[in-house]
Amino acid sequence: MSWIVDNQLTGFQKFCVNVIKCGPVPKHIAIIMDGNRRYALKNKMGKTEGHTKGFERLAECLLWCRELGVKEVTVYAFSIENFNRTKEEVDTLMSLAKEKFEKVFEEKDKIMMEGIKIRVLGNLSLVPEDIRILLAKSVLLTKDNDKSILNIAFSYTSRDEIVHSMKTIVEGLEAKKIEPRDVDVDLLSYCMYSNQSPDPDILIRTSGEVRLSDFLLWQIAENTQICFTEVLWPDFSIWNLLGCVFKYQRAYPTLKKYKDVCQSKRKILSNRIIAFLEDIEKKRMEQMEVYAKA
Amino acid sequence: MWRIAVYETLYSLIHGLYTVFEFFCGVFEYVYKIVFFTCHEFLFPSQKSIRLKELVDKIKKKPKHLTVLLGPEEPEVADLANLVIWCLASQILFISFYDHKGTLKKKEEKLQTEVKKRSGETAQIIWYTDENSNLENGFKGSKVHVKVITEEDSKMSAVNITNSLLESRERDFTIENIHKHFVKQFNFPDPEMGIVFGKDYCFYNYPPWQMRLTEFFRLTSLKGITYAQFLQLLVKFTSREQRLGK
Repeated sequence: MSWIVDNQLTGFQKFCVNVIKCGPVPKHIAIIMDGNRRYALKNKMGKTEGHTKGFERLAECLLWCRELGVKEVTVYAFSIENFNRTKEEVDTLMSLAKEKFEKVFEEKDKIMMEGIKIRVLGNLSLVPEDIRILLAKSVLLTKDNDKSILNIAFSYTSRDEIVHSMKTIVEGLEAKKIEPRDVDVDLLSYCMYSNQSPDPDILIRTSGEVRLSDFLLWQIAENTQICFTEVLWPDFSIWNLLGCVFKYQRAYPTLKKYKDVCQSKRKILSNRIIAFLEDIEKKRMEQMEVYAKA
Repeated sequence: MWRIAVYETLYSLIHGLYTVFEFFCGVFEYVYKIVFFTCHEFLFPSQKSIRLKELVDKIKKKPKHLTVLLGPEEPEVADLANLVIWCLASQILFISFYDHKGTLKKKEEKLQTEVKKRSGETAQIIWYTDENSNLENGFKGSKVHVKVITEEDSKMSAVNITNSLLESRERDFTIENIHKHFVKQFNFPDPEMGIVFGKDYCFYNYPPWQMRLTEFFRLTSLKGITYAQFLQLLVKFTSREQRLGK
């Protein structure tokens, strides 16, 4: 099963996509793909097979998003907390991840042709080396693509990200790259792993769970339409996705109003801050190259 | 060209129909609430207590801290006071109200009077206002801690912590240590349960650090919320299971 699947939408599905596209379309969707194990249990298959089915669904969902014109998708692939699962399951998940990221290079041409940029959000220092190399290489390979963006939260928790951002700022202050008066909410946002992305417009969590489980807390807090749905991730269909977008469209006027209020409070960035942020981004890329070469 | 016209017409039609549908749902809910309320209050008052008792029996687990996200609606003091009283009755120790519009802060005094009027002598209500945030120890009756959260308590607290870290030359960037700072600022435990009020499901800058494991439930409107509705949410909360990544 590959990252890029052929377009299998029926005529009617395509028609509905076109209708929904007449309204405001989200720029960025975040997904907690929950329910692979429950799906496996329900269908009497092994956990691994459940996770594989989950990945297949992700590839399809990315296609639907491209069809809809959603530019950016962020998925919660592996939480730092997931390292606490049984060794057997962590190993399974890691080997699945390895297999999928090796696939990125097998399907290099297709991915480059579709212009897909892969970014990884998370604390990569905790990831086993063989996978870290693959993650870093995928990021570097696709860094100049810009048609659609896939952010993979791997070895990620939001609290870890917030602490990372605070640390970055304190270090910047100590190195005199920025000044104490530069420190505000926006600067913290710009120092998150997700600093290259707008806040998600929609958060989808499948399988009936109704909490955020340490995923993008900072980015979702402000202006995101939350969609908790009962369906298990491998059963997630284009109709579920369209349903979520429809709800987003219902909420759009209210969200927009609040967004404008928040935006109006934002300051214009000074050259000093811009230089600091460019420096962070440069360092991050350099770190990726170090990881890739290991 | 005609295709686009078809898509656009259908789009407007679907959203238009949905608006009508929503309107009738709202009317239905309103009428239902009134009929239900009258039946229970006046026709079969004994039925009511049986039903409530059934609900209470189903509640096996309660949140320590219940947080209420008020959304765009302008809340009635009476409804808010009810929530506080119900928490008191259900032995939920902490309740907080998040109001991104910042209007509740102004009504806080009114709310305090209203709660006092209903709670009676034996209960202790501890308000966490700016001036007073101390716990009175040694009290034996039922009690509840109440706090109004504003946007200032949200992402700004991360800025404050960053500044204080810099000043104190403290360089312990572990999640545990930073969490201690957040707890100190927030003054309340992390909420285990949240009720989001509003037609749209959005957090309006709720403090992000604190909502890591909060179980969220949504109700369309706070207006006239009943004790049965409140209990039903607690029943839902009981059925949640936290796996913590496992």
